[in-house]
Amino acid sequence: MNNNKTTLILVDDDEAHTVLIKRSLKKSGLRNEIISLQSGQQALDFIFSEGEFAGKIRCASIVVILDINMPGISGVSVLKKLKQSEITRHIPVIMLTTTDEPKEIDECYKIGCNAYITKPVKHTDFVEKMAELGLFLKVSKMPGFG
Amino acid sequence: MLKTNKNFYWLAGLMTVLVLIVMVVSYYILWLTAIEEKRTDLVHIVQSQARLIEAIARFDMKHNRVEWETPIGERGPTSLLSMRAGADTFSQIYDAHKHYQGFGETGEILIAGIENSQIMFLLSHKKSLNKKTFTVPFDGENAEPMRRALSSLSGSMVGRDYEGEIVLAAYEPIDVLNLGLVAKVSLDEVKAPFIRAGFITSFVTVVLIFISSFFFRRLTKPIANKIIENEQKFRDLVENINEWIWEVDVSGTLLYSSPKVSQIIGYSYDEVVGHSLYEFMTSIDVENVQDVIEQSSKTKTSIHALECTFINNKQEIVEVEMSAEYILNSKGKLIGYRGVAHDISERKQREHLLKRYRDNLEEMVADRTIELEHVNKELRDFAYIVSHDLRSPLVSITGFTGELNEDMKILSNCASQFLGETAEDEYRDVKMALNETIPESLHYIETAADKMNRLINSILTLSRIGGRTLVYEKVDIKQLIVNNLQAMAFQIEQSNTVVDIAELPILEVDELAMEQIFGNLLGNAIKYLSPDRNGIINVWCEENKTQVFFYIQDNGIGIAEQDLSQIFKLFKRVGEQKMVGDGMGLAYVQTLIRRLGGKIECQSVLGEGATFSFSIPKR
Repeated sequence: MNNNKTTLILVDDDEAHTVLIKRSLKKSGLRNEIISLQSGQQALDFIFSEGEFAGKIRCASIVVILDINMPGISGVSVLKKLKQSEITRHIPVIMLTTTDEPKEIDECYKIGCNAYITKPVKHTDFVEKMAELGLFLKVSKMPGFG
Repeated sequence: MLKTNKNFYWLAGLMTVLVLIVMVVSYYILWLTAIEEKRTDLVHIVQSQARLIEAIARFDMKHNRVEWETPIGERGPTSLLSMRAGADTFSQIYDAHKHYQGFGETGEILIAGIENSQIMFLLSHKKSLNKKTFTVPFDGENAEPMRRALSSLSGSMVGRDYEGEIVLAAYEPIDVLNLGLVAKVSLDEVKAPFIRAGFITSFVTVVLIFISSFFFRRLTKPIANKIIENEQKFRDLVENINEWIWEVDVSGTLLYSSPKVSQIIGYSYDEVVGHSLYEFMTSIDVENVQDVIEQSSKTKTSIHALECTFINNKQEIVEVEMSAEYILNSKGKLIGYRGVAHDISERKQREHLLKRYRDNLEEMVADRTIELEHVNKELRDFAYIVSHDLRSPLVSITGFTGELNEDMKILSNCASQFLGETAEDEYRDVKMALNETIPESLHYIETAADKMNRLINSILTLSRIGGRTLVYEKVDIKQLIVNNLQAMAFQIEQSNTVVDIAELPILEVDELAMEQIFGNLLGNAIKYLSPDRNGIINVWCEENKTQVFFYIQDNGIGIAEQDLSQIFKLFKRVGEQKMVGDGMGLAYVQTLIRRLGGKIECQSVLGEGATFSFSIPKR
């Protein structure tokens, strides 16, 4: 499967969330590599191969999963940057966040996110949502990167 | 009052005098006419008698051939009685006079001749004939008419008779006998009827004047009194009213001013009347006022509440408000203005002060509003941030609790396989932990997390209500309630509830807010119905000019008095907690109603029901 080569970039400052998301996605049967990053800055550096990631990693294709509330550069800012650049504009971005403010959801879609998922507080709902996301990622054909 | 009376008496007196003068003059003229007539009569009498006597004398002379002792030409015979012819003639005259009645009371006919330089009267006929002769000196003062007759004069006169009385007399000479004939009447007799009539008519006139004056006075007195009373009343009004009343001609010259003027601009009545009103105004206002007056005279409209500034006798500025009505003469031409004015300096001062306060207040309110808006925004942001930041750890808590639960299942399966039915004491604790205490702990963590989640969601919802932009549109409230109730149809049917909705208005309001308000209140009404009786829910409204008051009344379990103050508070639930709820409904409702500019209240008796009432301002 082509999609197995797609790398998931999970950007969330909350380590616990990262762990939960990773576990849930794996449970749903997703086998793709997941790289977790803790800040918006890291995410940008990674994607644009700058800073600590300069010249290090190149992935064939990536999907970015972004939390919104992060110290420093927020998820929304990262989304904006990605959608402004010709190189990164086509990278699928999924907002995965605790925020369910309608205004914010609207804004993210306007900027160009591909999906907006609210992290459910209830565990069963959470697992269910992650399973859906996993399935979605498995069946979607991801565009190549670079 | 006194003056009028005096005038009246003067008038009556004058009238009397005038009437009397007219009367005297007219009677005098009448009297003169009467004298003239009498004079003519007397002349006629003497002339006709003289001619007749002459004729008789001539006849006697011819037929008796009597020698006349005295030559013709001398006046009178020396002894008239001795003259035969004369005696004959006289006897005929006497005879004639016997049958003559005479005239008037004092009328007298006299015949006399001259003897020894004396006038000798041969005959006098007053009422009766008197043949006795008597003499009067020829050059005396008396008997002037006879003297003239004997001097061959003919005519009439007013003079003294032989007795010295003033008489009207006609005299005529009797040529043939050289005698004189006089007919006279007393002037008093001629005067008497006129004087009598004069006195009678004067008396009647004066009496009539007095009577008519009396009645005139009686008739006019109440009218005059009324006029005087009215005048006094209006004068009192004009002079005592707390307004300066004035009248000007077209040029602005004061024709009248009430005494109040001195209290407003300090000048007395005498100092202002005759002067132009503009003299007392500030120069800036003169043009202004003139413009207004010009405009008013063109359009023939009254001047209302014109504010202008005067300068008083202490050279201070006085603010005055004037109103005036134009005055037209009988031909419809504008001849001036009549108006009122009063000092509004104090009012103006208060207005200035008030304006300053108002400006200040507006500024303060604006400042405070900005401050409040800041605080509000901060609160909303705070609620937003708190709810999201709290949710994040909560996701972790519930997430890992879930993970743990799953792991626990694996563990307890595993344990039960390994430990089986072993009842050894050292494993009993392990089994207890795996099967009971750990799942129980996890359950409480989950419950707590769940509750926290609900609280966070509530705060979030509330902050969203506060931040939402309201959309005002026409909403049929009754229709809105009916739609709302459809969602609760099942519960309504289950609880045998009757919902009665009165006529409700169409309001310009935020529809979503109203939906949430009625949804919550009706939902509560149904939710807290008493299980002991069928539910009755009434919805009605009252309205005044500015607000509509809605009432939602139920016969449910009600709210205890001490709890009433708590029900609108966040997360507060009162009474027995039989129903599911997070204690947010009424807090939402209150927030929504406040945002719409209204107020909510609740009245209730525990066990009998509750009435929620709220107001919505009209737009």
